[in-house]
Order: sequence, then structure tokens, then C-alpha cells
Amino acid sequence: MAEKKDKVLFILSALGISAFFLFPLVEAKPNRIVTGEKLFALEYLGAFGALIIVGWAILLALSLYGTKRRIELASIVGIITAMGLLFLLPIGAGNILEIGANPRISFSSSFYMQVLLLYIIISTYMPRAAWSRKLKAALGIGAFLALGVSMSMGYFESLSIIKEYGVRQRQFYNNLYIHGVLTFGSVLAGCIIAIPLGYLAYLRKRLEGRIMVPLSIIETIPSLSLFGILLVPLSGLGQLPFFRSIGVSGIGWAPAFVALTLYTLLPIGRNTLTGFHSIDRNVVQAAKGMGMSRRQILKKIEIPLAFPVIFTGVRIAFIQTIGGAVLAGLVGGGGMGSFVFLGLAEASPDLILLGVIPIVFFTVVLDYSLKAFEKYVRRIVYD
Amino acid sequence: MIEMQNVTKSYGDFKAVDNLSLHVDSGELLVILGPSGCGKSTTLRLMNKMAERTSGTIKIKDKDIDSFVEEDLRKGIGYVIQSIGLFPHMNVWKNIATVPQLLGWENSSIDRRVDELLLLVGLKPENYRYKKPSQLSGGEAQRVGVARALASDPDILLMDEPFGAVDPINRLRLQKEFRQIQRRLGKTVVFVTHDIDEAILLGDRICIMNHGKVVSLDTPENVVLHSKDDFVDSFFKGEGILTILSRKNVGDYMEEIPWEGEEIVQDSTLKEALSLMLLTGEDRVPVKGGSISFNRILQVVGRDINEKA
Repeated sequence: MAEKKDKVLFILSALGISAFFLFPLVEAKPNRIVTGEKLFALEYLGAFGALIIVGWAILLALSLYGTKRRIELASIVGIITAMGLLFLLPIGAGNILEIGANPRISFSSSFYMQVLLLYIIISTYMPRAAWSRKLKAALGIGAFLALGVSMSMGYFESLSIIKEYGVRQRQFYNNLYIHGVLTFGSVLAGCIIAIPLGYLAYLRKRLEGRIMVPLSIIETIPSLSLFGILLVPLSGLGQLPFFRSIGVSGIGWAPAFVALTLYTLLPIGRNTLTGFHSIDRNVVQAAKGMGMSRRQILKKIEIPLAFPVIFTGVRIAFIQTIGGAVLAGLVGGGGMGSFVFLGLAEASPDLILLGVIPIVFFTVVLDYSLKAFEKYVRRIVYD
Repeated sequence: MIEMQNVTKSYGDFKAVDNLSLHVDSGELLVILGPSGCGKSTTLRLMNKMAERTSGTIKIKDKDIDSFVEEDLRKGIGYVIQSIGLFPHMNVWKNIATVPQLLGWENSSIDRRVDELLLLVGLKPENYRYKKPSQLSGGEAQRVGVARALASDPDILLMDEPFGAVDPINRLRLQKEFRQIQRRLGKTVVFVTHDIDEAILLGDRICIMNHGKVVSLDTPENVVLHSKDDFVDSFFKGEGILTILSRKNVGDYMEEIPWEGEEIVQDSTLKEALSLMLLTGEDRVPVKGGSISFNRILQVVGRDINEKA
């Protein structure tokens, strides 16, 4: 089986090699305003570039000449190549001093393509590798730690995105904090509203349509229109002293929070309904027959059995809200979206990236950890 | 122990249970038998108020069931349903401990009780205590279901087709074991089934229902051998007679005549003895300490007929 050629790996690594040679790796600018010069990998990295191409070449070779450990080798080479790509970037900056003493390096198309391809390779092969779960976790955490430590030591100083970060460090953490509060706050509010609604829809069949249909309709409203719809009532509400004192108005955090909360209602509410519906009727009958009160049945039987499904809904709401919270930046609500929309206005891709990369990072981390927790809960409840 | 007087349960115009009166003695195993939709399950559910009757009175231990708080009434009556309804998120221990915990027993006495019950239903406590229902076979799950119903040592057990989902071989074993347990503990049991053999094998009396009414209420022997009712006849079509034989032990009818061949034990049933005769082609089979003849078996059935007449 291992002797067979791996077509997927072949295509991915062939694409990686093409990306390496055919597209520019970085754009170097003497300062923030001037248009930069696009540089190919070999131009920019010089001899170090060969290291990357060696990585790709090994992956290509692995796809053609299978060994028994192809999956493990592909994972490890993928990781090394990806780390190499990241860690070599600042080194190249020394090679292009003619552009200026302190050039700004922005990622260009070849970089994105290679990172994407390596991500696909690693995420395809690593879960299948015959390594212990601990080793896999250690590899992942180790890679992130290495990046984090070198970043904090100023290793990536020459990268434009890090320069943007350096300039806006305070804003960055402030926005990150607001983004987090908006996300957690909306999901929490969503849980408080949608779980009882879902349970009510389960209890009263007659109300099911009347509850679930509006939640579905909300989900179809584009977020921009939703901000528009919310503008009038929220600014009206902001006239009242209490709401004004906590900062409610037609723009700012209030419409963002309300909109994000509204969007969490469907996934949480629907999963609550599904969770309760999925309980075996006979189990509830047996519980009743044994003399449990309505409340005891809810607490000891129905909630524990419905919980894993409800939790899945909460996880979906989380992932959706982390991304969705970017739009808060559009209505002055803060969060990482502020960088995105500022970057769009200033035509500064690095600023956009400064907003997007942490979101992608937290989305992946949160999705992974919530899924792991979900698996754990399911095992406890069902096995 | 249980007294139902002129009980009716209607759903709109449809009478699921129609002016039914029924009496269950203490320590008796009463089987309610009938085709689907005859109202047998509803009758059972009326007794622990899982269904609310439309009219009539039901008394348990001479007390009107309306004088109990619903939940307290149910805590005092064991209840087993066909699909068992074990709580999938709780292990065997917690499932069995449910009612004792509701009643506020101490953990140490619950521990003792759970082990005792597991032994009673033939499961090794150390192997089964911490298993989840998903790890049990159908038969094992059913045993746990019975143990759970017995947990607080109720005087009355209501069982709604409890062995219906078990494969035939295990079902027969469960039925025999359950009958022994019931005899030993002296529980009053109302047992609903649509399986004729199960009814004859288990019942002290069989109550046959159709269209929400009692058609016949008598011992299995009388129901099978002396029925004067067309519905009952059509329901049994003579099928029950072999099962009647399986209620009786060879030891009670054997003669001290020695006979050549492989002996069966005295605990064997007349049905097994008859089967052996059919297999060997002889009209007499050896039993430990004697033998039993085909004529004797004929007499047993005949004597029952004569007793009634």
C-alpha cells in the first residue's frame, strides 16, 4: 500500500515548487508609502532559498517513491519547510540593503501559496501519522512557541506586519480584548436567550415554528443590513439616560453586540431543540414511571442527554462569531476589524493582515479545543 | 393488592379501557394478554398514573391512588417497559440507584442494595456495576431493568412487555429466572404481553383483553383448555397446550418404573419429556429415579379438563 504513488501529495508539492519559482515571495519597500519591489524567492533569500526548494523536492520525491513511513515523513518535512519559510524571511532582508537601510518586507503571492499548500499537507497527513496524541500536540505547541518566542525577541522585526504591530501595539491588544469580549459576550447572551427558546420549542410543539422560523430569518439578513436596521432603535434607546451611560447608540459596540448575538440564536437554538428531540422517549417515560418529578427529569435526564448536541451549537456559534466580530470595526465597535477596515482605507495589506491573522489563529485554536472538549463530553455522556 | 372498579379511559370518542374491573391478589403474577390496541398497556399505565383515567376508582393496598402524590405513588411501584429505558448516560450502578437516591437512602446502603440486586438477576456486581448501558447486551440490559425496578423493594411491579426486545433463547431464560425471583420475593406483578407462551408460562392468572374489555380472566389451564369464548379460542388456536406442559415438572407425574436410555432430571418439564418421546419414537422416557409415559402426560391434560368440568 505504501508503494503506491500519492497523487494528492504529488499535485500539492508540484504546485508548491511552481509557486516557489513562478511568483514573487515578498515585496520590499524602503518605507510604508512607496510602492515596493517584488522579489522572487531565490532573489530575496539567495542561497537560503535552496533550503525551501529542498523541502518541496523531498515532498515530491515522497509522493513518487513511497516508503512505509510516508505519512510521518510528509508531516515532518511539511512542518520543517513551513517553519523554514517563516524563519528565513527576516534573513533575506539583509540581502537587499540597496532598497534602504531598514526595508519593510511584506508577504507576496508565492508566500501565501506555499503557506496554504504546506498547511494542507500538514493538516492532511499529521492527523493520520502513527504518533501519539501527546507528540502531535507537542509538535503543534512547539511550533507556535518557537514563533512566539522569536517574535517577542524581535527576530521578525524587518517584516512589515511586525512593524505595523510595533507601532500599534497598544491598539492591538486593546482591539484584541474588545474582539474577545464581543465574541464571548455575544455567545453568552446567545446561550441565555436561545437555549430557553429551544427548550420551549421542544416543550410546546405548537410554538416550534413560531420560534424557529424567526431565528432562521435573522440568519438570512446580511450583516450590513442588520446594522442598518439596528441603527434606528438603538439610537432611540441611547436617548434614555441609563442606556446612554453604558454607551448604547446607533454605532459603536451596541449594534455589533446585538447583531452578533442575533446571529448566534439560530445555531444555539436549533441545536437545543435537536438535542432535546434526540432523547429517547422511552428513557423519559421510564424516568417518569420511576417517580421523578418534571424538574428532576429535566435536571438528571434531559439536560445531560441533550448537552453534547447543545454544546455543538455553542461551538458553531463561537466560530461564526469570532469571524463575524470583524464587522464591528465597520460600525466603530472596535475589535480586530478596526485594523481590517483601516487597512482597506489606507490600502495597506499589512494592516489588514494584522487584523486577520490573529482571528484565523484564534479560530483554529478555539475550534480545535472546543471540539476536543466536545469529544470528551460525548464520551462521558454516551459510552 | 390492586383493585380496579369500573375504570374507563377515553381518548375523545375512543375508549381505550372500557368499564374495566380487575382484582390482583397479593403475591400474584397477573398477565394481561391481548392483541395490540386492546388497551392492555393503558390499563397498566392507569395503575401508576402514567395515564389518567377518565372514570372509575383504582385502589392500591386499599388506598385510592388519588390520595397519593403522583411521584410518591410511582416511587413505591416498580415499573419496567419494553425498551427498558435505561438511562444511557448513567452506569449500571446509577441506574439501579435512581429510586433509592430519590428516596434519600445513604450511599452505603445503596451500594449494598445494588450488589444484592445484581446478584439476584444473575449479573456479577464487580463486572457490571460500572458498565454503561451501551456496553450491555439486550438480555443484560433487561436484567438491569428488572433490578432497577426492584431497587427500593416495592411490593408491586408493573411490567409492560419487558422481554419483548430480547432474542427468543435469552427470553426463555429470562422468563424462567424472573418467575423464580417473583416466587421467591413474593412480589405482586402485573405483566403485560402479547406473547401467548409467555403468558401461560408466567401467569398465575391470565386476563385476556379485547377492545378495552376483559374477555376472560382465569388460570392458564382453564383459559387454554376450557374456554367457552370464541375470541379466546381464536386467539389461542390450540397453541397454548404445549406451553401448559412446560409449566409442569416431570418429577410430579413420574412413575417408579425403570426404563432404559438417557435419563432426564426431575426438574425437566413435561414439554421436554414429550419432545424427547417424539424424538426417540418411544412412548416412555427414563427420568432419574423412574420414568414417565405418554399416557401419563395425556392424563395430566385430561385431568385438568375434568377438574374444570
